[in-house]
Amino acid sequence: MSKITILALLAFWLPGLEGQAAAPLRLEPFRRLAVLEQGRKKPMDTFARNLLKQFSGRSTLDGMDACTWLARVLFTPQETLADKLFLVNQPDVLAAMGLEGEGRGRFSFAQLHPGLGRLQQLAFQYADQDESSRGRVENESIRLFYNVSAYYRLLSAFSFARPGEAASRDPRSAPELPALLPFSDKPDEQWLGPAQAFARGSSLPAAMQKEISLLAKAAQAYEKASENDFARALDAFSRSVQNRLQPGTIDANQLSLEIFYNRLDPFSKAELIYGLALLLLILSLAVPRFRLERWAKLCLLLGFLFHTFGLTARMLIMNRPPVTNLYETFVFVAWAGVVMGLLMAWWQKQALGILAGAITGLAFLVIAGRYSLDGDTMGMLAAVLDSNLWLATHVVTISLGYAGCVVAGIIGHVVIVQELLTPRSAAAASTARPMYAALAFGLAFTCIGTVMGGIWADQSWGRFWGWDPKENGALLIIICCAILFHARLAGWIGHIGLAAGSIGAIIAVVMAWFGVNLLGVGLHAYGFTSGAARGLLAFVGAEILFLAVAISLVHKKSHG
Amino acid sequence: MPDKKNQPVLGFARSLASLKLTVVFLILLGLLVIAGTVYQAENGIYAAQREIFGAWIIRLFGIVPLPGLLFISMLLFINLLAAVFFRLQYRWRRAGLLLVHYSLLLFIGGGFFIAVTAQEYFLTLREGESSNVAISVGAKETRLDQNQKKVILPIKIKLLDFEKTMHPGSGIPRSFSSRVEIIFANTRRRAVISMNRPLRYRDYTFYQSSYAEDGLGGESSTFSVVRNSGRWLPYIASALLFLGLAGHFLVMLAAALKKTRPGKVRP
Repeated sequence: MSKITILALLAFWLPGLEGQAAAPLRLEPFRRLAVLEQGRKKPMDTFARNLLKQFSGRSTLDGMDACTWLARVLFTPQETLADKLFLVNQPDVLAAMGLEGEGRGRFSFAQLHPGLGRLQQLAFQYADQDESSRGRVENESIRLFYNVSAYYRLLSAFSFARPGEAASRDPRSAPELPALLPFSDKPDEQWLGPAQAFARGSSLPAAMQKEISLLAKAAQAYEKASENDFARALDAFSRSVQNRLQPGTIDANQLSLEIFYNRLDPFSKAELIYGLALLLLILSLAVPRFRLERWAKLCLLLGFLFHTFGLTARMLIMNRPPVTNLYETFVFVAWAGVVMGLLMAWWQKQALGILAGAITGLAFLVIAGRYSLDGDTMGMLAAVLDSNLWLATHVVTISLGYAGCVVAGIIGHVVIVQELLTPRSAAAASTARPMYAALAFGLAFTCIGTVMGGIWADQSWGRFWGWDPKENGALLIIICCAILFHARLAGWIGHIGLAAGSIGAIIAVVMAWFGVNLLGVGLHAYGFTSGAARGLLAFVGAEILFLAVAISLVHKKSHG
Repeated sequence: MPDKKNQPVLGFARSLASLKLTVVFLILLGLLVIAGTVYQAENGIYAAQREIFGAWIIRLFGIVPLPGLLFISMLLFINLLAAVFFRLQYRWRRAGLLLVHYSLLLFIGGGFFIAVTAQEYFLTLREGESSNVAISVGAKETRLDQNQKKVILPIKIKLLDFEKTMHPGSGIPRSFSSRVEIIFANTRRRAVISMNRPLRYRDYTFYQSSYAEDGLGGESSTFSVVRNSGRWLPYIASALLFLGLAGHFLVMLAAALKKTRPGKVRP
């Protein structure tokens, strides 16, 4: 027990990795403000993180956390003009703007400023083009322009609070960010940005006018670094907003939980700890006398605790089942893989279980981390996907199926390597047993998940089966597993063939999972980035190469 | 399983149950599914259904004939039927797997039944409009280049109001729904058709499919109308599949627990 305490303490110490550069004053009340963005009420903390990630591809800026950064942009905008904020992935965009710059890099508003006129022109032209005809530079121009103009609007979001600065009196042109003031709650809920609300002036109800002056007070207090005034104004603002809304519209506990979730960043922690588990396991195999295997197992368990907390917190924050979007499938499959690894580790095969669990957990959390750069991972659901019961059961079940196949495939690698090292040994045959079980688990859950998907489709779209690419993908996994089991029963393949086939099943899984989004057709195609496409192809290529080399070697050894 | 009985017919039937045939057919099925998916990305779902998923014969490059998905499914069905009769072991330990195979028979057989009998139409109404004339969308018609074929529904539908709501402050649709009136002879009743909540009337089902706005504030709503008397078949098959998998899982779990009991662990 003491071991896990030590590890847990170490893990909690890890937040030190996040930016700790101090804000001029305590930002807690600012962090807790409710903002409406993309249809969801979220704490300012999340809003700031999403924005900073979107602008810079990072979660901190010069050691500042996102909220500290955003407060500076809103309240002391002049100080932020030279911050190297905007990530430019394509240097050609800079050239097109008439600016100097090489390679991928981050640039400040001041640096980009001379070229913004040209960028705007380009972005407008490209945006009119058909999406499929745009290349990388075109898309990057649009993205950069979108980001710079969002930043530009943030700069004047509080200009009404600064004496001597001209604030727009036209509600149409005033910045709408960040949407802090609930304006109407039915039927199309609308929240106004502070500048927008200010521009509407006396046409607003008295409560809202009071809220605007509270925001102005907070902005002035921030500039003077008077912590108490800042906190008092923002708390009064939050209370006033709460009072205007129906009870339960903003859940303060959910906001606090989300801030804690953001700060703990449980999935990044879990990712690190799984990496550590893997490292310890490799060390323990290299130097058995250190007896590091148990530490590796504890690491896996600890990572699992963080991981589970993250999943649970998301469910509580969103009032939603664990898997509702592509990001969450990564997180959930990683989690299921770790559960299987832990079960295996406790049941019999300690090292194998740790290996399979840690690799699945690590790999899919890394992918999830990359994917989360695209924006808020807690987006709202489009109408077609919003029916909780079937969504919960179908997607969760099929993700479990994916996890089973992935774990089987990972063990498949081990079986093949063992066979290469010592041909026809008992070790490979014994390793193959949990692989068989994982594959059967994968097949069973993919089957159940697929027919549940069929039922969902029948209920909402009018057909049980429609040869949609995602349905075909699931069917392919089923066919792949069915081929393996029947070929083994027919005596065509043994445990080596089954191992090779399990790796084939991983390929089927990743193709069904995101290859389908790559094709970009059908009802299930929900967003995918081109970088991921290349990574996917590289992965499939590497696996096929591994299979070809390994199988030919195994063949040679057993016949030579 | 070598069978030397002097009954050529039975012997042939038994050989149809071969596992090796199963593997070969499954591989072909997998290849067809891949081909159809890729084809669909290029040519759209209706073309893919016509040329591959709903085809007995595929013509590669327009010439070389290959078995289509219907053909392979039929072969698998025969193979499975023979396996159920001659190969599968009827023991309690195998009961789960037996159920799974029965459910697959029902899935494939039901699929054939639905493919032959089910019909799908579209019905587009402007607000205030009522109609009982739907347009059928079928693979056969598209082949004849006669895209639309009209059918008369037994009931009239009147669109009273179409409503869409968005998640606040975003372009993400939260829900689409249509308030309609069902008119049959002299009776009228009101109903709501929304995403994930279709309207059922006898063996017809009306689903919210899409909508359009004419820019003048008027809206129109499109329903997909499905007439499918075999609708319940996949449900039965799903239930069998679920029971079978659950049963087999329990049997396997019991066996695994027995095996790992101390003293009985295999070397």
